[in-house]
Amino acid sequence: MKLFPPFLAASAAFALAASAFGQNATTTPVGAVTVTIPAGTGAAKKTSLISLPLLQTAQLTGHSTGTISALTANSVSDATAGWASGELSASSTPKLLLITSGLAKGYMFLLSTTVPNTADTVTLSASDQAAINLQNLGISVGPSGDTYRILECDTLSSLLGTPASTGIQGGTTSAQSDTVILVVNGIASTYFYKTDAVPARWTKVTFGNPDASNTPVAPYYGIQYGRLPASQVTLSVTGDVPVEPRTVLIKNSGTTFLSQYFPTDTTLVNTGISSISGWLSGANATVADTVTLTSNGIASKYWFDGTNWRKSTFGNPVSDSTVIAAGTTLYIVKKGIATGYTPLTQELPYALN
Amino acid sequence: MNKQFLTSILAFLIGSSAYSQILTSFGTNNFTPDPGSTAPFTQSATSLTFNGTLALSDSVFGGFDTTYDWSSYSTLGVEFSVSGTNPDLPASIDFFDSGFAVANTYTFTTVGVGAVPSVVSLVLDTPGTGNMNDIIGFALNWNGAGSINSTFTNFVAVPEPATWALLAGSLTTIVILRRRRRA
Repeated sequence: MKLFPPFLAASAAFALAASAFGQNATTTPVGAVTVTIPAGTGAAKKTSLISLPLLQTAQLTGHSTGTISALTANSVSDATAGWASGELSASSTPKLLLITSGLAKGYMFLLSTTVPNTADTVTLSASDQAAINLQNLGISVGPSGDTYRILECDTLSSLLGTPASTGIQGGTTSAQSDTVILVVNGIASTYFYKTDAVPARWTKVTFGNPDASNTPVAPYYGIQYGRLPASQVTLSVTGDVPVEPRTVLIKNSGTTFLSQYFPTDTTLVNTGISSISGWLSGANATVADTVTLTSNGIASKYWFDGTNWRKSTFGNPVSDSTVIAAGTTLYIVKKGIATGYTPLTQELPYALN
Repeated sequence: MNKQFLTSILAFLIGSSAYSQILTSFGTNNFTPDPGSTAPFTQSATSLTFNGTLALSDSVFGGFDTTYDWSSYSTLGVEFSVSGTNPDLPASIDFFDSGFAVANTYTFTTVGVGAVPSVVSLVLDTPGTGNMNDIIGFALNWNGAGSINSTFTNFVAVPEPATWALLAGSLTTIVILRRRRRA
């Protein structure tokens, strides 16, 4: 995926084949989706929940698609891959592994940038290792094993660029800057473009203000963007549309950002969230698990009462058909102290012939 | 020393944060928050208090006045209290070594904590690349949003189940020996 400056976005916007948004297509549609981040006020930030709804196959020396010949709890091997050592583990160009067949079809994993890949083996990132054991997913290995695809993964730097290149607002503190919040394994981290670092760069709001330019931003991550200036930012992401169902992990308690992974609109009821094991329904948003959406910077909270989704507002209206737009993110909060994760599988919302 | 007495001593020790080994405090006497910290907080000599509305990812981070070797402790904890309504917030702590590398990332929640200071164990989430024998600071990060009045006092080492088993075994031995002596 690639970011275009705002002045290019208009010309690139929605080259995506219309059929991708309809029902049928004969080939995998390729194009661009425009994601608009609403303007702040200049004095106060406006918060948006956004996502990157397209995929881009990695260009590699070795195979970018293939068959899994072996695996461990945290590594995947393809005996015929022929990868150059380290080409899938460079920190500035992280990669993703998508399972494309079998019981685990639709799982996507971030590959490690600290453990170099070999000619035939890649290792999952530490964050994914903390959440999942590959040997528990029913993945078939061998000559007729399950298949995979290697994808490019954006970083903060490649996606959001610099103030000069994209119009994001940098500053010496997070309060003076646009901010980006990512949630990985339930842990939220804030980033901003630090203009007084030498050289200026993306940094994480934490002890030591570390260089965060190469922080991965995977398509299954949601992004909370806080925009300060009174002008919008337009992102245009390029790639091809997902052609497999999607399976993602929801943290059993705490916060999960769930990206609207497919480049189509959906509704609350069609997300399938209320059907996952352990989803807490209830009489109101205080006792039930919740989903928050933003529209033009206005946040709305929803919960499931056991029959319908309802909005937490006067009258608590039924909200099953509330639209979740392509390029947005759902902010999920699951109550309690349960540990671990529950998978959510979302079927392909369009047909590919 | 009867059985009821021993049981009550054991229950007291297990339920008491006092038995956990205090490693260092959140107060100004040892911890200096970085001005870039985003969570609203106040600090006394011996504690750090969040009293207000927290946004997702608000954090306090900074450095200790010295470095610590916590590599030998398998379970760390934080001692804190929550006054008023507990919003049941998830949180995490990154420990940093002197090279600013994250040594480990731990999670915990405020669920079940009330006005009396309690020790809550930290759950290892992601091992980092830094060294736990060279801890120079930490970041306490809120992974949920809500209003809270919570006072953090100490980092502690939480006794392992094996330690409790040893203690229980020792007390039982004392009881048996005393009974034999009486008989």
